[in-house]
Amino acid sequence: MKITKHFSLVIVLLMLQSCIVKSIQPFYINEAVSFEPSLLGKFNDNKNGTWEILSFKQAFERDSPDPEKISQDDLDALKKYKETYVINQTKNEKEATFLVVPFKVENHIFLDFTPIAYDDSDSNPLALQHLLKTHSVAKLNKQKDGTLELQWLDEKPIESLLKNEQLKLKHERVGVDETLVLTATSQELYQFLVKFVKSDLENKWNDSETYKLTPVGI
Amino acid sequence: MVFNIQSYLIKFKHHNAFVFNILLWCLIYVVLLFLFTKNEDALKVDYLYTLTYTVALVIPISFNLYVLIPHFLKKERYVFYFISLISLIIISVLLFESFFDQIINNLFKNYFFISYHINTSFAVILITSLIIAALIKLAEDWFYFNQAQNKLVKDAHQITQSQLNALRAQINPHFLFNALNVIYAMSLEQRTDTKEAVLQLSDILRYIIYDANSNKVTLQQERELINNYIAFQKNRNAEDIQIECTSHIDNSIIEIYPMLLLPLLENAYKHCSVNVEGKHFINISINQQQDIFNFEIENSQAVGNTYNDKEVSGVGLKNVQENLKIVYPNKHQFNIHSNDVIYKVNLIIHL
Repeated sequence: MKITKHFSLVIVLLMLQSCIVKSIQPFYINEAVSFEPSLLGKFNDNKNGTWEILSFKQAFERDSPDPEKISQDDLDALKKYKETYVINQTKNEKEATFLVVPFKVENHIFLDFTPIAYDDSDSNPLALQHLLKTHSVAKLNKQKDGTLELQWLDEKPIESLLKNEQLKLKHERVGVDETLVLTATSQELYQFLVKFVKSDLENKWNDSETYKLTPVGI
Repeated sequence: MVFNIQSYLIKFKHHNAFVFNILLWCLIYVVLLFLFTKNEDALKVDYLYTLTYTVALVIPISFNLYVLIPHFLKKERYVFYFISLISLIIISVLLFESFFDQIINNLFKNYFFISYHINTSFAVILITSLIIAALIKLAEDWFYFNQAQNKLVKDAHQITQSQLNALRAQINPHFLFNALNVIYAMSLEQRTDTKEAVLQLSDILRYIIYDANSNKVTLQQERELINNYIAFQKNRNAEDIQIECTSHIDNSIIEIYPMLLLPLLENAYKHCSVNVEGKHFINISINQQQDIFNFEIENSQAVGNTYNDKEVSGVGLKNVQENLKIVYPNKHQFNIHSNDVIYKVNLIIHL
């Protein structure tokens, strides 16, 4: 009985909180990828976290300082991710690293996030093996003072579109809390973002998980 | 009367293009809806997408149905048809790829039509729809063509039957008129064999009224009719006519169209006269071997007594010829030979 109570409480809490939209496939298509070196640097966010944005090459060189030990696989990876950022985000002394691909949607810059490493020292190892590293997408707004605003695509407008039968996009509901996971192809996801940006839906970014990154030193 | 299938297709045109198109597009809409929803419940977004998609198919499919098929396919201009069809498909696909998403997104700004035709291209759906629509249209055309053709055959048969009945109706009074004249003459003479003549006429009329109304009678029946008629004519002042009737019939139950021979016999009696050689005769020959029936009748005639089927007395011959054209078209020969001494008619039928 106690277990059931706790279980129900978790579900209610999960349903009430705003969540970013998760996808199995990346949100971008290769033709839309647009790397901007101006984003590189260190930032502090509005939630007491720190961010370090590196190019993939920078991150690789930091981890492998000896150029003579570069293998063919490393070279292939450098070529494949040459227009990709590696972002280290730290909060409460817990660090997470994301592979982030910048791309353009109708003159807006979007960032496709997928975690590649995070501090899981306090987590149950068996539970960790059940977690899947999915993609999320955030819209980037560059302010004149150099501040970067990241607004994640939220489940709420998507759920609203699905509820009103206005959206046809492949998806699944997974887990006991029926988490929404998009299963559409990258082509379809990109097509969706194009339409989403153009649409006049009200409050489409209002409930987004938002981070404001201020460059260190300002 | 000339029967033309085209005039029937126009006259009995029950084809309703509006109903046909409503049914066709409803069918295509439902099939596409199943295709796009993939066994899931159809949503508002699915109905709108399918509707717009169906409208996009209307122009190429209608163009094929109402322009290409009638102008090229039905006129057996197959090369032109296939070139035009392939051009139509290419142009339609290019237009669809260029404008469809733009149009549907502008029409329904807050609807997101994303996971639809990524795996099934418009070209595949268009070609499939073109084939299905063309087959339905051709099947529909065939249905109406068949209906018109059946009506044509039925009407042609009915008209032929009416013509035959009219010709028979012309024969019967003609024969009866002659027969009654004979009996009238016998009764005036108060001949004792008048009763027998009436009975013989009764047998002949029974044949004409009952047996001759069927489409076919046996050669045996026709042979008996000829015998009865010859016996009846003996009651006239025709005892001096030499009658010779020979027959070689392999199969007496083989069937023939009725009332073809009696008018010829009747004609021979009517115009038989003593010729310059002093002879007064009627020779009848009836032969049947396998599917060839050969009837020959000749009578003596006096000089200047020649007649032909254009005269009033030749009504019987004319009727026979008309009947033969209807019941044995291209399967008979009817020849008349006449000189100063004899008049001969030869009828050959390929049964």
